Amino acid sequence: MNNHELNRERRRQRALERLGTNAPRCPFCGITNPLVMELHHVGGQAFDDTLVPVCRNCHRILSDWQKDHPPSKGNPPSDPERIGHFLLGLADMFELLMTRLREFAEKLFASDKHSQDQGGEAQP
Amino acid sequence: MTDNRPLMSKVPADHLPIAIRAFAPPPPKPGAEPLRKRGSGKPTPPSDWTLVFDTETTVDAAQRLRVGAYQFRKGDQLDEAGLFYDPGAFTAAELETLRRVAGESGLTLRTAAEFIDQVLYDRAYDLRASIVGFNLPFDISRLAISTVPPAAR
Repeated sequence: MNNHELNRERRRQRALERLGTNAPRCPFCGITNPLVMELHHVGGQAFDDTLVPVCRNCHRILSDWQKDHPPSKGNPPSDPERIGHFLLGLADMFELLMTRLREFAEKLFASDKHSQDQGGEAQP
Repeated sequence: MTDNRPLMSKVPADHLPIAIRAFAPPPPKPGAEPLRKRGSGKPTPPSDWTLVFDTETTVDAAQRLRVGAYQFRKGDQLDEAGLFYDPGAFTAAELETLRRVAGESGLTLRTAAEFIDQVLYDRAYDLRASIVGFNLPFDISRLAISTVPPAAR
């Protein structure tokens, strides 16, 4: 391993350590490169410490949706407020997951149609 | 009557005070926010890199490092295999033999200081490797860079 490879691997290992896992995978798009992954606060940083590794693109979407959640009422927030924000964050994640599942399904249908138009049989 | 007790139980014991040093975190200040945990709060497990090493020492009471052997691996793939040595523990003739053996065997030859800096820290530590050895506390202590006497009480 030369210095260039060592430096690259060092950055990759730092990213894995920051993410808290050796096998990160964005649950929404499936990307596994730790260099493009971040930790997402499920219920929002002010309300919840639960973190999940997601890719930067999906993180931006989820963080944008969190802007529509109710504003903070108390400091520190009450337990019902924390739980409510966590559930809203969880609902956002399911919503994004459903969007991705539909996109994947449409791609499969398109691929199948393309194969049939070419006279071949679609591979499962 | 014959005393059949084990030898050690016949030796009068010395009663000595025991000192224990503990490193305890300070208690949280009243009203302070609890520390935020990252991820699951558990430490990230080691990566798939592994450093395996062993040391050979002098046979006197000091048991000073003479030579060591190591392999640095990623999974089951060998990245580097080598030898390291303490320059002060070798004669010129012995060092020449060591160089020849390393060259013939395709092993990287490093001084102990180079091994510590370039393999133990720059690779094993930075890449979060598992460090494997037989009786590792002994081998790691052979690599100690320096020691200081304990603080006076």
